[in-house]
Amino acid sequence: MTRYAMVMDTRRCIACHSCTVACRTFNDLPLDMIYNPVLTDGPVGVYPNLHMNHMPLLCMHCDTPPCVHVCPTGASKQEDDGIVWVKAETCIGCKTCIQACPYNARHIDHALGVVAKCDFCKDRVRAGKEPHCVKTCHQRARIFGDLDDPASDVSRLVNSLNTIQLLEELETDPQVFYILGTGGQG
Amino acid sequence: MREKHFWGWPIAGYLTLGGLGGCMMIYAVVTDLFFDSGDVFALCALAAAALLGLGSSFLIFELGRPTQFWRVFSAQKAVLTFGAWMVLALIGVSVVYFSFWTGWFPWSQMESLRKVVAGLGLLLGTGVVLYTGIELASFKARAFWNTPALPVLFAVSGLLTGAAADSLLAGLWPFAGSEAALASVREVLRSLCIVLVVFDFIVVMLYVLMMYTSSNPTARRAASRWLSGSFAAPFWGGLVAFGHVAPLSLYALGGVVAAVIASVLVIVGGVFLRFLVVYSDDRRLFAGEERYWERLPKGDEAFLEAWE
Amino acid sequence: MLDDIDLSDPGIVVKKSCCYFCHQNCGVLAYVKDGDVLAIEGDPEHPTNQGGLCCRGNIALKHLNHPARINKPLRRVGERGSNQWEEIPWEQAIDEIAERLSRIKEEFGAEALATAGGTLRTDDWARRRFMNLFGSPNGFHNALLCWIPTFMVETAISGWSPFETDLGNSRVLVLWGQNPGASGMPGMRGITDLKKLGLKVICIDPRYTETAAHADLWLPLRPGSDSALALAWLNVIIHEGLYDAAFVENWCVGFTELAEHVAQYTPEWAAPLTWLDPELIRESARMYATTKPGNIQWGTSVDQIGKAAGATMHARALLRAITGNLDCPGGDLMTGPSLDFVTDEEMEANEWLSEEQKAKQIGSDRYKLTTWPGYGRIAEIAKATWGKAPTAEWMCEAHAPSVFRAILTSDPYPVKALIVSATNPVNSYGNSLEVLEALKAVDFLVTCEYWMTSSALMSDYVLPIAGALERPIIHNTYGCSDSLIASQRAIQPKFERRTDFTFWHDLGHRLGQTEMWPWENEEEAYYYMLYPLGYDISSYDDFVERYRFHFPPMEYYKYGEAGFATASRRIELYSSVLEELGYPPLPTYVGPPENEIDDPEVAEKFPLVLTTGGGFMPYHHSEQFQIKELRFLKAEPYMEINPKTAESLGIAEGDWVWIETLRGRIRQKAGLTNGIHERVVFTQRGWWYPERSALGSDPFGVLESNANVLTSTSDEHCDPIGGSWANRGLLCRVYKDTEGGTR
Repeated sequence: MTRYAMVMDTRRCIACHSCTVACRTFNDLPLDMIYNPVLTDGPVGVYPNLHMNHMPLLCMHCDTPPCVHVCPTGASKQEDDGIVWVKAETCIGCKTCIQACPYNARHIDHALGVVAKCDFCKDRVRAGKEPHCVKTCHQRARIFGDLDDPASDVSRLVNSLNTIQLLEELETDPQVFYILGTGGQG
Repeated sequence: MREKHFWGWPIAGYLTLGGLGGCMMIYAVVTDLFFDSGDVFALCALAAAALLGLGSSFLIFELGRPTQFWRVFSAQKAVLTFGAWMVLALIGVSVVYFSFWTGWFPWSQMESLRKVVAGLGLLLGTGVVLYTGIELASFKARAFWNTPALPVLFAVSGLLTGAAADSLLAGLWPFAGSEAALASVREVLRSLCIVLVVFDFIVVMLYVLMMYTSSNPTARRAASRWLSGSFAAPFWGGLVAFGHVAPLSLYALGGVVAAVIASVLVIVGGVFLRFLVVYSDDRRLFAGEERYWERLPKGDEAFLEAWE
Repeated sequence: MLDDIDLSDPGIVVKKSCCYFCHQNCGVLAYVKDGDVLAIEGDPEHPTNQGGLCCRGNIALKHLNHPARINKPLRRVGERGSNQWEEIPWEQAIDEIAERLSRIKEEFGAEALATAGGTLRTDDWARRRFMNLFGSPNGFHNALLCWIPTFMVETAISGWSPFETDLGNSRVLVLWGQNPGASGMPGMRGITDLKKLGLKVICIDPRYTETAAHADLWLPLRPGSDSALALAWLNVIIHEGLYDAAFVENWCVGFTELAEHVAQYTPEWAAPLTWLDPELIRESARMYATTKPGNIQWGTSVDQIGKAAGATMHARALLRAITGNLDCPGGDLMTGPSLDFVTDEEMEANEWLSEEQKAKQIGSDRYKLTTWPGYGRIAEIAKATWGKAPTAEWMCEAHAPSVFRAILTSDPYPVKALIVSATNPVNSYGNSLEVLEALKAVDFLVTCEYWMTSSALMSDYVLPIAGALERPIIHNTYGCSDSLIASQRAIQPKFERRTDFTFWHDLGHRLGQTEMWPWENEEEAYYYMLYPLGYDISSYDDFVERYRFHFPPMEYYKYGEAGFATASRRIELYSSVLEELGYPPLPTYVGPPENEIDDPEVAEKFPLVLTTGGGFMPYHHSEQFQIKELRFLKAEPYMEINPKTAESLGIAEGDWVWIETLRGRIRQKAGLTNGIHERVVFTQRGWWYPERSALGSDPFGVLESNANVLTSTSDEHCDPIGGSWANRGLLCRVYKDTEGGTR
């Protein structure tokens, strides 16, 4: 089985926001819709002993996606390969899924009245290419692939490194895994 | 340009009306099934249907694509789908139940059939009252909602507002009994309302305090806002003073007029409660997230429109 | 959109183009059909970016097709700056401009014409070629802020600037005022990868930047105090015996003098000047000297500290020499000019500029290293060694602030015409108020631009320029590296846009230079330049499609045979070139351009230290502010201030504040950050508001938040050696904006 997942190596991220721009440009999103913000925590500390961490966010394509279970029309779907997406024709814009998502991954398209979100660039991915945000990243901080393929980079990293899942305690089993670093000197 | 809240007044309005309508119906049919005085609250059933209908229209209005609302009646296993079916069914059952009391229909005298319909109404009413609380409580993302205490909060408030509403409508139609009987029903309702106002106040305060002392900082943040932040005025002024303290005093005072005002205030209090809850959809923010959104455009900047 | 492209469509051609929004020129594949670009994506085979694209690269089509692009030549009607134009054909515009320039030359001499440029994205050899043939020595760029003085000082000392960093074999990297994490993405990726393999990184920067967060050592020095730091490093390395004695003995001149000279510059001496702990100064110097081999990578900051610039570059250059980190594996390599292809200098027709005209180059009497006196000497030595010289356009330029002042005062002589190409001078040159005045005052102003900027606004003619995807480019480090990367144009320029090469070519034809412009377009010129490489190609596009780049193998220890390209054939720690030009032959200590020790009266009124000029995503200088997809992410300017300082000034996060220097004041929003010293503030560069009105005293809001309103170009603040003006290490004060509204 294929299970798409992403590894976010925050040790490499420099918060250049190129992934955010690539996503919105190539997906032709409304100006105020951001699928994948990149947050910066810091610099934290007492000058000059500081550290800084960057956290790119996006839809986690959870294994137990609360957004899919609450959808009353079936517009919010999860495929066998794990990709969670919204079928716009079936969406009525009730926004229940937005309320259910802990990761702020879902957004209202005001022009169409439906909910929109990152879908891991599913058409590209199924054609063997990388999502736009992964491809554009100069730092190679985003690694994408099939978690069920033991030879893939994501599988190797998730298993051999200490990665974390955001808001793990909420038990949505997000499939974006974060490698955290020290964030500073030494 | 990010909306602060995804659900607004229509949802708060629906939650109020849903709980209200559901409970109005519950009282009506319970009185029929267990106290044989269903005729007192006959109109309540129709009013419940109307209020549920109004609430549903709020929901539809609130949708991103209102004309597609019918899609909600699907075979999905979502709470919202069950809720939609139940509300639809309850509206129908309430109207049918009311029709028994009009005497205009061939089935008007069929008491056992009426009681079956009443039983259905009881089940559906309970479902409608509980499902919204259960749904909101299931959102682990929203710390202020994510507790089984939320459906309890909504249910108790529903029972209170339902009792208040029914007391306003009691006996209006087609009530066949005497003035004395009606007065005693009103008296029972007044006592019930007093008990429920106190009970509801306790439940509300316990809920807020539970959130205020929670180990979850997001819950604490929302609760602080109620107690001493930007929600303090609507909470203490609207929900507590107008919605509980004033009606309690008026009920205790006695008299029909006082009771009427008190019942209206109780319902207003219920509206305040739903608004405060709906706007407490706080999500745990990640480190650096607040600053990120803060620095984005607000929506009125000239460059947004400049080069069309 | 990219994902809708059906690659099996025979009408679609893939072009190997490049991004054009900074001079790294990352590779871009353009999908072209019927003469228009349908979509772009990063080129996975391009050596620089390997498929990645930063914010700016991603919006190429928004830039190409933006509604505000200037698409036809404009001639001013009405008052200067009134934004009233009539559209005229390109040919007519060129005719009229040529005619006017001819008359100006007749009346005032060729030197009355000056040109202003920006950060590459142009064929600058073409510009220089035109100017040389016209007879004017007064071309300039922002060169003095950006690498050129460093190049010239380093070349004077070791024969060619050692800018080819052999990072793959390196063990320590000093990023001296460079922030690749915010402005040089491909470089940052390289550093990040090498760090994993053990590379140590020392980051010298007053701010805790994206790059500093990845460094092993962060040296947050007082802005502008780099001279003290460099001298203290020399002191530590020499006096703790950490230098490469054999290399110094065999290949350096002046070591004894240097050792004696730097004895006084101890870390304890440097500490109060740099605000760094003496132990940190020692630790970092030791780390560089003992973790061998190592690199010192250049950053613009030392070129921007005004009067301290030249001396600092000199001291910094000696660090590589005494540690033997020059031309060795893993060190900083001096490639010398390419002997295999036609260099930019060879395309410039420098031999056509008479000595008489050269002598008239404005600023050359004062700032000698980066003008004909210094460049001439260095070119002489280089030609004696290789037969080739560094690029003159960049390395040998008029002093920009002096030219602007010549426009205003006619001192040393009147400058009557200015051609602005690929720059927004009011935004990007120091002392914006003076620049704006000069643009308004100059008799004849022609601007080649994509957009109606505040500079274009003041012009008599504005010519529409073709940019990203509409032109080819050879990326070749200002004509000074022996490697090159080639990209082709995706489409012919749209509308009436033309490239800068076409501009100079056409103008040249009108002004009697026809025989000197045998190439009709860039492809022909580039083919001419590449031809000697010996690849079997029939055209420039052929080279791009089949080869794309030329990287000769790295050569080490080239000096083994004939020594270094200096007069003494050795590394001149004690520089003969500088001495000849009348400058100190050893690096002296020079304090920051404005500082509390030398200017206490100024410091009293302006107690905080200002640094500016650092790049940040997604903008590049004054570019991209019209691209909504980018502007959305950073809609307003944010300066950086320490929270304690902000609190003492009553400033909260997000408050509009004024930052003021002796030159003027600007307003930006307060961004509170721990990552900066309590006495230092940083203002973002480049800010203007293109959505605002062109009319009034502040066209497009270019004076409201633009850091260059604060910077200084006065002769006393400029570097006597190279002429760099002062963007950093200035004194300022900050206070909350209670006036509200715009300036």
